[in-house]
Amino acid sequence: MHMRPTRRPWRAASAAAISALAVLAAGCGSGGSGSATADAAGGSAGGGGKPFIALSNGFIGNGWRQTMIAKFEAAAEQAKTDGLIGKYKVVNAPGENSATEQVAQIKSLLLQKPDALLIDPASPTALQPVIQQACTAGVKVVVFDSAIDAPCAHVLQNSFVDWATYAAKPLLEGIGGKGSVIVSRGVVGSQPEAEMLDTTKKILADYPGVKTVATVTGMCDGATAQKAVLGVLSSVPKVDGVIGCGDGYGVAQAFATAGKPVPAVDFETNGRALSYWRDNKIDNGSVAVMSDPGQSVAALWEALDLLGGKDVPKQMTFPIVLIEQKDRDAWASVLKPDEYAAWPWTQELFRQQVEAVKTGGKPVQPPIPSAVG
Amino acid sequence: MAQLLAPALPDRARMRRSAPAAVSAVALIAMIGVCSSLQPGVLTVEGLTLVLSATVPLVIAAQAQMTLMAVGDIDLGIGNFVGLVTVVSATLLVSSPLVGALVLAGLVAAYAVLGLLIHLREVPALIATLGASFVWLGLGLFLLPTPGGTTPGWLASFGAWQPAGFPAPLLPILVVALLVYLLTARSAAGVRMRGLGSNPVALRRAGLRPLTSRVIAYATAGALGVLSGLVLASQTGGGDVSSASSYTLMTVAAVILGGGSFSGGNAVPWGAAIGGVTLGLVSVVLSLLDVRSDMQSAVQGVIVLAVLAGRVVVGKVLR
Amino acid sequence: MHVDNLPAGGTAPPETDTGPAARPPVVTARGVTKAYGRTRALTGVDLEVRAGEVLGLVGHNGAGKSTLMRVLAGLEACDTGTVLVHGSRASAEDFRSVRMAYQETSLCPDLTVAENMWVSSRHCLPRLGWRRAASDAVRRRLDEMFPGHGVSPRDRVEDLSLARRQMVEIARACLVDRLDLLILDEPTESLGPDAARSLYAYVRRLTETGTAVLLISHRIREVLSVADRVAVLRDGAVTAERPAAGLGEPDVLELMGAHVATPAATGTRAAAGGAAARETVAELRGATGPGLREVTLRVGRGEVVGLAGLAGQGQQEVLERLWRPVRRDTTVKVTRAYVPGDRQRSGVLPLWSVGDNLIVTALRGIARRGLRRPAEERAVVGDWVKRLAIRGGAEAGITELSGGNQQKVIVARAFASPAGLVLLDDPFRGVDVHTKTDLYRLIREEAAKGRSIVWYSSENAEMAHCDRVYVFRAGRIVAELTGEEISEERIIAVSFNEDGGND
Repeated sequence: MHMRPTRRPWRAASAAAISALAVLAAGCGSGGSGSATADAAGGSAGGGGKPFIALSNGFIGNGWRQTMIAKFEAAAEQAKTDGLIGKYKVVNAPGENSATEQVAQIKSLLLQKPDALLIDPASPTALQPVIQQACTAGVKVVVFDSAIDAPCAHVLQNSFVDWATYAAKPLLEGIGGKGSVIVSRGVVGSQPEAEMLDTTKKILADYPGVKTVATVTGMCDGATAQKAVLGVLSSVPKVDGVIGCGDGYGVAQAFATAGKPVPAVDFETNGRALSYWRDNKIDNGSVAVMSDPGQSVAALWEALDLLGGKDVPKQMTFPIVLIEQKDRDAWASVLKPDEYAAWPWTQELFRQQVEAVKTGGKPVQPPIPSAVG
Repeated sequence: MAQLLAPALPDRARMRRSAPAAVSAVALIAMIGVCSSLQPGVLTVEGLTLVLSATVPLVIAAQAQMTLMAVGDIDLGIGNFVGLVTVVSATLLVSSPLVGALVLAGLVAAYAVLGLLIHLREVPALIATLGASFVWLGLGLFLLPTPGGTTPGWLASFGAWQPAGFPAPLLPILVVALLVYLLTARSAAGVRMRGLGSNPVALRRAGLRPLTSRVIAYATAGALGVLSGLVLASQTGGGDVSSASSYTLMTVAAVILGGGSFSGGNAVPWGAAIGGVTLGLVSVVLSLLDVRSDMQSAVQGVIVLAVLAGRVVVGKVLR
Repeated sequence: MHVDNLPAGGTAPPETDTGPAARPPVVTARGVTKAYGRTRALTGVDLEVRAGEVLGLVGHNGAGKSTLMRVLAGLEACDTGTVLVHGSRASAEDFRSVRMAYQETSLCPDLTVAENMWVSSRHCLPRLGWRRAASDAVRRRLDEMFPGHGVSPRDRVEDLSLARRQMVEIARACLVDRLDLLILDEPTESLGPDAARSLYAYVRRLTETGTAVLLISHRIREVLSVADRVAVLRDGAVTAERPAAGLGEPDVLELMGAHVATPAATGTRAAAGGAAARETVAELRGATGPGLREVTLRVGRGEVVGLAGLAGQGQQEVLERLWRPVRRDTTVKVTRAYVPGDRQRSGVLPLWSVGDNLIVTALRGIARRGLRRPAEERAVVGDWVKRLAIRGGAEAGITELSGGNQQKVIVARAFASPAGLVLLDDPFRGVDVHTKTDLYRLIREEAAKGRSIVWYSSENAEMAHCDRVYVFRAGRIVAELTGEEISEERIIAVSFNEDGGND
């Protein structure tokens, strides 16, 4: 086995490329590694200046995530103006909620040595090694919107049990505790969905007069739910309610298309669904319930408190956004069609909620927009 | 006098053949240059480890794709296959290591059987592997419906392994490329495989069974797919059958960037490694450049096209 | 390194002085038949190849030569009859000493020369270090067979010229530890004259050691000069077996059943003197480039211009210039059509029918406002199928046709288009005499209609059908022959004349 590099230029070229890489690595490594660790150490103490906050988002393809990012950017911009942070950076993983992509994204974020890293994860387990890597590098990690399997990260999330409860209970009360319902499941295969389905089943068990006539997979997405519900509508006699997860607009459309009266549904908390709900006078016990896109802002405050050395619990549950008929018009008037209702977390409200979590007290109820003004 | 002119020709031809990998290598070096100018930390051992580690499973999967493309086939199931391996390694390999290892060996055998069927039933590989991809997906969902699980300790510690003075991800990239090079480019089995992609009639006339060649190639691809899945699991720390679905087309792009062709006959292990790292680095550069994430896929595509165009131009010049 | 002990030849029969008839037969075919579907390729072949002789096998395309060779080489089993190797029923093991060099080479283009040797000669290579062993063996064998071949074992086959590929293919066939019968299928079609001479010299050395050689070629004169005996295959059976000595080319052609038209008989050839008066449709003015030096030539309307000379002296470069007139020194005033010679590689669209293959170039001319007009297309196709007597008709798949008929379709494709200038790149390589005669007639007819034809041929005899012939050597035009001056002898004389034909 002989290597004759002159006879195989491409082999030589590729070998050269790779060895160049290796040499660069080794060369810079010996000189640079010391300063790199110094940087990391200094950075987390806020050494050079104000903290650098990075946010990694696993998926940007829906209105909720976009609202979440928009709220964060607005709050971060304000915090920057107020001198609370030095700079911030948002990175959205491209593609279809792929943990693999997000791992790569977080790795390239870590290159830039942020002081705190906020993560809306694509998967509750997949990020564990890279989060560990971040913690080891001295970065404060706050994961929000989802549980995560990483002991070193702080987690801030909404309770999916709350969500499922609010999605089912008011609706079932609204239809008088009897009749037929369709259950529209969320992203089948995800852990939150399993949790929510479990809760829904438990609640349904408390209402023996309610019969589940069909279960469809709506993926928590109006368009998908619309198709799925349309598919079963012809085979079910009369439907009094559809228990779903933020897909009521599409479900209502499905009933309207089929020429049937719109039953009680769980609307999205965005402007379009709320306006539809208001304008069509669907006053039958429907509610709008979804998790809070403002969690990104809360996570920002948590990161700042962590960097400031404050004691913050590792696991915190923040209130979900529930819009009942009485608050509907107030929300509907302030939201753009694709904007989702978010609690306006301020640093003060956040700290109150942290206290509530610590003491096990009643969760803070942030003001609804009409009250804010 | 024709003979005097002759020796110049093959050398030029060799340069032409090496051009794609060279263009990719130039793109790779340029990207590392851009990265390091934006973020000097890239050129430290830690930086390179961060940058390169995400590309390792992709590069290994690209070697699997390259092996099949060398026999003139294409694998549209490699993404889900890698995903399935992460699932197996996050479930069975933890609960009962022996069963897990047997299942992984079974998956390699399944690839060999796939090659056997493709050959005997004369199904186009495109269709057979596409069909298989749904089987992998189904098996993965059956084993682990929701992403999760934990990887065995030895795998996790491999993922976290950080030797001093040397970027850890470079090691698997180079070792796997070397092994694949020895197998496909230097060994007799490699000659059989490339011969199958190049001119199956010649193989048959020489009394070699194309079936054997194809089965060897598929078994190799299966083994590399398993390796890729294990490395991916070590990085993500869990199993998710859809975690690598983008690999299917990325690996094809990596092989093409590295100088491979759809028609088969060529083995480009070093090229595939360079192509894979190049593709993996694109997203790092883009995020360092603050390219909007909704544009990233498009920009990534444009960069790939640019590299391919460069390859064509260089090929023209060298003709 | 037992691959390479061949020329010394341990298998030589000691009694080389006995007459050929007394030597033992190496391979014997008795009553061999073979059918593919309804086509009966072999209808009962009896043939003996004896040790130490060169047996020439001639016959038209479609006479069954390729099938017979595959059967003799053990690649295919015959339907009835027997094939004996050394007088006993042959097993796969016995056929290892029967080797065949194919016309359409059986090399893997993406592999190196040495790797190709492993594919076909792996039984005689060591398991470890086979690469070096194969390289050494093939280099030595090539040196022996084709001195100055210019092939390195590390070259990829796809990068080699057609001639070098053929050399490698022949060397590949000879690379075995024991060679009883070597079958050469059109070995010199792609080789230059020097290489052909070296090859036949090697063949003679081979036979001296007792190896039998079966030579298949269209070049009857070549066969006659090399072979000890000649067997004529016609309609799937051997119709004649004669000693080559004393046999002339016309005799063989007669045995093959050809009615050979002499050039004069096709003779609608335009008067030679008229050439200068014709309108020029294409010309090269002092064209210089890779493979071309100061080439000046012109093509008149309705003229058949031949490009002659030894293989690879610049003729194909001229065709390339005329096909893509991008340089300043080239002017082409009319549309062009190109007939490639290497039909396997660039000619046919294998999945299409004869009709579709034929009409593809003319399609745009027939179509109105971008829409195809099937009725007109059918008429044109039908006309051409009839005119050239293409077997199988318009609906047959192109790959079902014999090579000669495929070539007819490709030529018809060019002439069916409205092109004013048709470029022929040695299109009749390996085509049988009947087809050739048909196509020669077609060329003259089309020229009479005002089309211009530029025709490169490696067969100098074909040039007799041209109005004017440019003879090339080393990228230069060394002679321009017109009318009666054009003859094979003259072309050869000019091609080899170092001073160049200045007349």
